[in-house]
Amino acid sequence: MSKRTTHFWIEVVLLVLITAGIATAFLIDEMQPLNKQDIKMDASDLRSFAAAGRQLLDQQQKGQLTQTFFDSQASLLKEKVRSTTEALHDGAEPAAERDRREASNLAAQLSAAVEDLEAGRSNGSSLGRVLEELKLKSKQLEDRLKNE
Amino acid sequence: MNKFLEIFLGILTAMGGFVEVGELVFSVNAGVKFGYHLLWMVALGTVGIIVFGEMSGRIAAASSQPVFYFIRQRAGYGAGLLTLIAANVASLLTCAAEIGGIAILLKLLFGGNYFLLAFITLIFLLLVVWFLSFQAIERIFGLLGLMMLVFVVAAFWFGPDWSAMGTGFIPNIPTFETSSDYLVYAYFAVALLSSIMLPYETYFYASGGIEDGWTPNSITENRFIVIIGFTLGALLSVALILNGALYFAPLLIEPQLPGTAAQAPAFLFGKWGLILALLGMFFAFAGAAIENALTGAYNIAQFFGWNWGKYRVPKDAPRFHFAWMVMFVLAALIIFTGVDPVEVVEYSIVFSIVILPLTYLPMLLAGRDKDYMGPYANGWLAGILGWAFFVLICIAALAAIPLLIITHGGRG
Repeated sequence: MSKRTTHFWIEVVLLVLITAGIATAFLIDEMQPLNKQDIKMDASDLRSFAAAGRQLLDQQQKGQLTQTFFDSQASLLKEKVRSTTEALHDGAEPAAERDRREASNLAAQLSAAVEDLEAGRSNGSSLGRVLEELKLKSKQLEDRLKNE
Repeated sequence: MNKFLEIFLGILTAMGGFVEVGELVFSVNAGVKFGYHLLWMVALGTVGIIVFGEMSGRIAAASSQPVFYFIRQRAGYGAGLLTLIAANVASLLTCAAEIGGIAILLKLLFGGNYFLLAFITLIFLLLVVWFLSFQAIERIFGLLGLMMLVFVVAAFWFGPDWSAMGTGFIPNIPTFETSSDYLVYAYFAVALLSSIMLPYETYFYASGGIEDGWTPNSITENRFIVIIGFTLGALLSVALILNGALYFAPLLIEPQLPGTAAQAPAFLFGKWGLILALLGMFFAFAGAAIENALTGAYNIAQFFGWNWGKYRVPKDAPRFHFAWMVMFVLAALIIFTGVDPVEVVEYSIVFSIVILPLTYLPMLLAGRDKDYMGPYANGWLAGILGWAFFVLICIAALAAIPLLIITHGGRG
């Protein structure tokens, strides 16, 4: 085998090893039970989704959005909330279980609120209030976990 | 007069084609998370893309040879082939993210099933590249992408703090409460740099110069286009950061959907602001999808010495034309798996920075070689800046993947 070919295969092997190492790191991370850091990130997503829902509703009520945009964005938002809700069903470390339950509870409430948003069931300003409240509660949880 | 018009259109096209889905997502979120603090990274990345864009254009104009020809020449077959594979994987991921982004935009504009819209996007892009000339594609998507200027108007309408904004352009590390915030800051800095200096931009720009028939006489035109066009394009990135800092941050929204960004212009200008923003994004993303598919085909054809070029009819360059179609189809298949395009963006951006040194080193070596370049070889400024940026991107490339893993993709 020429020196050039040997170098080529060394480079290929190194590349494969690096790729495999990265993939393993991701897999290990995914398989770990949820810890406080993971729940903080999910709470941060919930806060952002609740805020986005609230703003979407506000802008729609002020006539700043098209109906198609509102419907489609609400449906995409619902998918995002669903994905975070599912992530919170995973098992958590014992020290993080109480926080996981709290986040999961917020996620369930947000799922229901975003479904109302998508279905156009805003009930005057009450849906806006619910979303605002969920945003604040999620923010509180996020801040508490950040400081722990 | 024709020359001026050519340069003017080139500048507008470079500006309109500057932003793609990755830059949009990272810029807005960088503004939400760090306010004005990462503006300096946009400035740094813009100087970097100007340096390497100018160099690749000059090499193409002086030698009529594209980037991958030099990569194979300088790096050898083995390392060149690895660079080719890595570069095309990055282009494929970016193309997939753009197709997913376009499908989302079509859903926001017209409604409908996301996967059906992704399929329509695939057909649309195939037809566009098949029927339109290179110049027409460049102009149409670059110029219509300028509708994104609505973000610039919005940014200034929101009333930025000019003094804080000026300070943001000076390299800085703000004070954070936790150590993980510093890592997230570093991750966003690296991602912003990568989103501006994406390797496909230089491959495409150099190949485009050859498609446009550049000669050494085009070198001045090339300089004007990259310096003015990319600087004005960076204005769009700055505007997106400002939209994030001034509109989304106070609302506690971290946009995870590409369409969310359009709500900022909608807040100021109502439905027309929304529609302009969505259409501008549509043309910018579509332009980037086409550039990435063509880049993949250019790279392969140039590396293996096939006939290439949009100006050649398919009969004269069948493998090249087949290659860009395959790029589009593979990219669409990635989206059909149901993966979130924004997640694809994250990986494509991080993967791109990892291969940047492999792209820019052969270019630097070719650019300074007087045998190839004659009197157009790198001068002292291009040489110093080129090597300085090469060191910088090597550091960024080493840090990118660990930062992606440690910060969970910038989430904390």
